[in-house]
Amino acid sequence: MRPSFASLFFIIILPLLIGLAFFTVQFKTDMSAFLITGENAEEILLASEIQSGTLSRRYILSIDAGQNQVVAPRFIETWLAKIKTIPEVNSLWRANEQKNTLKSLSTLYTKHATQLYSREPEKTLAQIFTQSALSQRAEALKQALLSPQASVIKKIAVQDPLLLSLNGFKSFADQFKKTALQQTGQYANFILVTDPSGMDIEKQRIIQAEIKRYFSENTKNLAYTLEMTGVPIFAAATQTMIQTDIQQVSLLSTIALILLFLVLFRSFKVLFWVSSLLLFVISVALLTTQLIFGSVHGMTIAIGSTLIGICIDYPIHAIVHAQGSEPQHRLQSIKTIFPSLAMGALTTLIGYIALGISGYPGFQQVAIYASTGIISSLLLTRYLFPYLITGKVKKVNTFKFIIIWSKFCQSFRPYLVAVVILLSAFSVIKLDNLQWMQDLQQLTPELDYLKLNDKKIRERLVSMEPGRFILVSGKTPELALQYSEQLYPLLEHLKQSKALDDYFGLYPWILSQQQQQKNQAFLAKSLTAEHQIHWQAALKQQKLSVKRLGDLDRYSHSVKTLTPQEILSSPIAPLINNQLIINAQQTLLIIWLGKHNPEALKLALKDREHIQYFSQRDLLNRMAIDYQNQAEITLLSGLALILCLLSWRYKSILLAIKTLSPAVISALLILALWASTGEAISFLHLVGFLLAVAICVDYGIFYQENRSGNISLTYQAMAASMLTSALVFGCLLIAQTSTLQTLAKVVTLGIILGFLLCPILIKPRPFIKP
Amino acid sequence: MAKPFGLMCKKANFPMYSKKFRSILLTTLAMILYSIQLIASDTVESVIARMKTQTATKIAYTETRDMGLFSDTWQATGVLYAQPPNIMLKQQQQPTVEIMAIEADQLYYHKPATDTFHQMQFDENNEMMASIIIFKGLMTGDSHYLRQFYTLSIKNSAQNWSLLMEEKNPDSEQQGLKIIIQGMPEQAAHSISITLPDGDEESYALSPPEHNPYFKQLNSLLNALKSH
Repeated sequence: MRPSFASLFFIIILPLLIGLAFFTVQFKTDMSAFLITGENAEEILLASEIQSGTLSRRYILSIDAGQNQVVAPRFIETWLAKIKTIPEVNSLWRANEQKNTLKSLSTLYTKHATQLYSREPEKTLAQIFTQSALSQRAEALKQALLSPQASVIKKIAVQDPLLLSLNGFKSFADQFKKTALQQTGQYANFILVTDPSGMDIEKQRIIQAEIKRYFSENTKNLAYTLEMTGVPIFAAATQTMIQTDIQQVSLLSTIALILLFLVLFRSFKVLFWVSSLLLFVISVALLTTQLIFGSVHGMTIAIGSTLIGICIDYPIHAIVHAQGSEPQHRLQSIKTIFPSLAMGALTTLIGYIALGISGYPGFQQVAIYASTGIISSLLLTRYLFPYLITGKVKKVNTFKFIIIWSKFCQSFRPYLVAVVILLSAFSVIKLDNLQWMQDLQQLTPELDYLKLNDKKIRERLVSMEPGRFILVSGKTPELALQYSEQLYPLLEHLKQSKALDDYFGLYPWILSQQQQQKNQAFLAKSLTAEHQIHWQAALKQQKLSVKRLGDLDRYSHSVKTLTPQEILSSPIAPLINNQLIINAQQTLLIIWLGKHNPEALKLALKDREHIQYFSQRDLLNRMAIDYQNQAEITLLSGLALILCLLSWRYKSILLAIKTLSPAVISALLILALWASTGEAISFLHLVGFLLAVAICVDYGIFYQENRSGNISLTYQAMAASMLTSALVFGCLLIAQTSTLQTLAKVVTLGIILGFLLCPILIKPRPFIKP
Repeated sequence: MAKPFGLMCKKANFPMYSKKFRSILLTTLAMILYSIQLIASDTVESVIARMKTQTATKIAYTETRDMGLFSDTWQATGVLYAQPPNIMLKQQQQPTVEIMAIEADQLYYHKPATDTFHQMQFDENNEMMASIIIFKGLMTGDSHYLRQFYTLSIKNSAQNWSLLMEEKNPDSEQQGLKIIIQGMPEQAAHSISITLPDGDEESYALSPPEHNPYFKQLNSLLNALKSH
């Protein structure tokens, strides 16, 4: 193939590939999908709901009028009316709004009064069906009919004169009173539900912008502030952060690489071809990842942007070795060094594949992305690149430091080896002081401001701990409800013993069919003629209509039970659909908790089937430990595999160990450094080590094999590739995402150290054929 | 999904039969109607325009309720106070003591027998408060505002005048609220009759109003509510 054909082919294919990648690849930025998974089916379903279900589509909006000020009702009304006009806003209501509850009482719950009046029918009816209790009830009915709520009470009373349907709502009324008191004054709080998922960032951004716009328009002369929290807020903030990081890191690393290239190779043509090759590689990597996963995560691209630093190694080595030769000898030069490049690529691939099979949700994508990129780059370097470098013979600029360091190491090698051994021994001892990160939330300190804001807003509502609740699971909604009903007496007991302030289950909204039927049957059995006489006497005493309110036989009629599906289609659905998750395989029911003693609750719920105390913090901490253990295994497995590969290649374990030693020792020294500084390390650090080792092994291989026969040239080529890799990973330091900063520190330091250790630990030999 | 302010006020059925807000309705109407002069020759607009009050007013009342769920009519007596620009207070004295007051945008309710106390924003979005919104409009003499929700008509005869307010756009299942205010020609209103959509009725017999720049009892009751 003539160079012109190669160039032509490349120039035609490249824009097509870039266009295809740009227009077809779907991007995602959900951090939880990247990092978090559950241990069991319930946690996975819950995680899924948090990511895309009802739980993900809610906002809490809180307006603060300022100290000693009150949010004006007229303002609220105008602003709410405008918010409801925003497209894709599903529903919006005040956090203490009772309107739908009162309406539902008279339309939905009254006809199920005989089924939902109590969780403990025996106890409740024993309290109701005494002469004095019936007298009190009649008096209460009279007062209710004279009260401001008379309009609702009338509708209930004609169907349910004993007002049994209100029985279950007594404690609920207390909670509403609490929030009503909180609501009168400085804060006005609202719940907003959107149609699109909380992870649909573009649509959520539009909704958020509109909410703020309407707020700003209506508060020109008011000193109100608006605060928002919810899954969409966190998701949008995360995406903004990742997008900014990608843009800044990509820009900086591109500029830095261009400058480095021009300094090293003094050729715009080489820069052009290498850049084009990288664009080709990235496009292929994106398309392959999209093909396998259906989308590409933002973190994959952010971490994968470091791929540039790895993939560029192969053409750099090719340029360094080939550019010094005449054009007709360049293909042979590249063919000569290709086996080393291939071995280096293979060891790097092992590092990424080990990452992929480690189990971290997002890193599987990174593994595919990186592997595709590495293989593409390698093959392009071997089969296409030689035909693109058509310029004159040019010597690559060398760094004086490289030459000086190389000579220094050769001159004082035994002493330097001794120093390295001593440092390594010291490092091994220091490993005992390593501090491991126990709380996965520390991985995202950049989101702490949102977490604080979330806590502040939630404290203005009914005091419910958002990150801790009881998760009840059942194969069907009926079973889940039954399990939760078995739990309520225990929760009452915990309340009495002050281990728990309050809890918010699904009663009084719904009971299991089993309990409803039991309630109905018990009521029919308990009601006697004597009770009817007492009731009618009580009504007469209160001057209430016996004709319209005196017939209790209506309570003996059997009525179809209320189902969860009916509730979820009624106006009160928004009040409970964040507590009931129904899918084909199972149902999850969430019981929210007020302030409580976590240990007491865990102990009380221990060994209870289908019931789990769920703490988001505990889940993340457990995951931190799991990931840490997995990372250790992955790192060691990766190293072992690389060692086996090198041993097979060199037919000598000792030689393989020597080749691997710069990589391993650099990792050891860095670990010792952190142990000394007290920095807490996480599984991300270990992931970074894996990458650093996989890259440093390449240096060991190139130095060991020295396929060109010229160790200076080989070391210069390594220097060029080391600089590009260090630059690219180093650019991650400017990222806001602390995950990327961690990777930057580990990998950059690792590969620089690994590079510097090569001439110390590996004695340069003439070219050896395997 | 935009809801004009008026419709926001006017939720299902304007439950005027809520005791608190009928009381406020009564207070406002009674207080402003004492000033009606020469009704026989007046239009609705001129009558409502004169409903604006300038001084504090006190009216004794007897309330009667005729409800389908009661076996007998229910009666209560008490006193209504109003003080411009934005204070209204109803003190029920028999059969039980209940006090309800509105000052600016705050609503207070206290029933000592059951130790019930509420304080809340005067929330125009709350259907229970719809009547308050309307009669605040009456205090300002704004007939245009009232006509958004009610059809107003006046009937004059030698014996009395009647101002009829009928709810517009009631719930399709029921008839709307009807309020009839009556008085002798050139005199203050002596009765208010409210017919609720479900057929229940409330009526108020009003004593001639007293007016004074300041009522000590009003202020002490209001202060007691505010300091609860």
